[in-house]
Amino acid sequence: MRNLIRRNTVAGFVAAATLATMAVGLEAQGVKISDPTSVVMIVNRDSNDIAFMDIKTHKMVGSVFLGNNVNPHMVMMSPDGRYVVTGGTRANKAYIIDTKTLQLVKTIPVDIAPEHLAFSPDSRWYYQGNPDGDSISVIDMQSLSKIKTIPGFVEPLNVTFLPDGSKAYVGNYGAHWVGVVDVRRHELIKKIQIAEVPGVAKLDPAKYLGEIHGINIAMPSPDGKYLYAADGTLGVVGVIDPREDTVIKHIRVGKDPWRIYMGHDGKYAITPNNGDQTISIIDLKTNTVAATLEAGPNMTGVNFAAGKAFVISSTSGFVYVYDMNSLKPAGRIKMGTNIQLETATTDTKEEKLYLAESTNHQVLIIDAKTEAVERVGNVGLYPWGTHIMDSKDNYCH
Amino acid sequence: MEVRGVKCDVRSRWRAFALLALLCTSHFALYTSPTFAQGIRDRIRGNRDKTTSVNEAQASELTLTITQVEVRPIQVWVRTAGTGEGQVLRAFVPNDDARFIKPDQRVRAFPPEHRSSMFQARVTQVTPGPERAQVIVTLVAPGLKGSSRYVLEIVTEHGDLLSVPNEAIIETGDKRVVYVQGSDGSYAPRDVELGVQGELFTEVVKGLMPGEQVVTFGSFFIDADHKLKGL
Repeated sequence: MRNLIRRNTVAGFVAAATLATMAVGLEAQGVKISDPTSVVMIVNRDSNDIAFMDIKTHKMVGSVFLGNNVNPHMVMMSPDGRYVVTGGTRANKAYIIDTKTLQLVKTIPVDIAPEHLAFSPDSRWYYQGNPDGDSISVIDMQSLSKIKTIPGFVEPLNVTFLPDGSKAYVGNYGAHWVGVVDVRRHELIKKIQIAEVPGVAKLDPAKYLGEIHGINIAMPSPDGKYLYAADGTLGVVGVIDPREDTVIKHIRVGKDPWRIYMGHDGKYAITPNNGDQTISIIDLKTNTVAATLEAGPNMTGVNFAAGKAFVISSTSGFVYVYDMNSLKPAGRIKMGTNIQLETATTDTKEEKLYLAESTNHQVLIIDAKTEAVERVGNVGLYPWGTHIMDSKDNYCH
Repeated sequence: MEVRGVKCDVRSRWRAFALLALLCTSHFALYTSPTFAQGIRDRIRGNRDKTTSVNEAQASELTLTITQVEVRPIQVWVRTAGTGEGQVLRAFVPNDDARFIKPDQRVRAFPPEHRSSMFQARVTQVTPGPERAQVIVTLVAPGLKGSSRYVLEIVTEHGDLLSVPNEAIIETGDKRVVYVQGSDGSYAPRDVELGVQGELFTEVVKGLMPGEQVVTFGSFFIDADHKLKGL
């Protein structure tokens, strides 16, 4: 009997050990995100991490600490879903995270103050813009190493690739031109002047010869035929034909347009004009301004969902809503008082917006149809931006 | 005995024979030496190392990058055309590709009219046929108004395989070669047998060991240098 008990006890221990080993095995595999499309990525500037929220449950899945005083600026997932990358503005480094395991797999020194970034459509190249270094760092996603630094830009803010991946266009916020990069050679091959500084510059030197609010981004139209670049100081949008890399038309918009945002249906684009607190809605067929509507101060982003445009007014605490069928204002959503709204992303179903709010360290989820707001707190310190894989509204400020 | 005006006695004849024998021996040694066996051109060009060395300045100029041979996930994007009404699209793919397509896999859908807009979709059904399989794909959100045709990229996972970056592989005739970094920093070509070719990485069936370092970006220049040296 005693032997039987001992044998059973031993068997129990063996079974328990086996189960424990299996559990450890699963833990060791360390799979935290099996589907890269299932999460919202949140850049937390002051807690120096990238946090991950489940889209369905709105629960935090995990976070990746990057290091002290890193200050990540923008986050993006590679088109193959394998890596999440960010540029650390204070650390002058690029960070590469394995999506499945949420492990920081590589830290790569880049140039000064890396901010915005982009992937080539085939996931092959990661272009990291360095506004203070006036350069783009080219990171090879096969070897996870920096292979080149492309110099010659002036405060490069955003990079966009053509759909075929042959060329990349760089918006220079400290100049009035868009840089064209040959992606095969990773070389700056052309500077496209969006518009000339007018001759009256002499009459208004503070405006035209002071600090330049140049080009934030050259945004491809949904059909990929043209690129649109808004110039803040000059108050125009230049339409670029990528076949010739020349400006084929100028569209005058409101004062100090921050940048251009493309509607998802390919009909309209919007420039939030912080100089006169308006938005200009551009008809992409005729390349003319279809409507100029009142908006709020310090606009940092535009998202599109449920037939509406949602314009973020960062310091007023409001999101302004516009009906994209009638091109008329459709009210505004109060997100709170004494808060700072940052930027938002839209889910791929185009039902919800995920807006980062830095003052209270939360993400505000807006239902595009009902305009109801859900708050998810404690996402990290000073959430700065959000990102969803394959979203059409992935941007930063 | 007089040979061309030179008097030869027996002793001098013996000396001449000894000299001739010596000459023959040294020539035999010369002709049978490994240097001579390689051919006159090779002897003139000297005995060269079979590897190619690249100094740091050259490497920087070539933007030379090295990647480790390791086991990593390989993705193949199966490209096809899909048509349909609303959010449901139908496509046909060869059975070889269809083996790896499963329900719930991620699909990138591009309407031909909107080249820079990508619509996310999922595989909802795969029905094998005699030659081609029918794949039903559902768009996550309503697609582009008026568009019934899409270019589909079905993201298939082939598992974790020993692999190298696609750019490391150089095709020469019917051979596939990669340049492997030696412990002294030189690079030597290695024949490899390949398996699944993915979007960024290709499976290596034979010829490389995990942990070895291969040249990726810049392998073409290494290969050109290697060939120029006639190695």
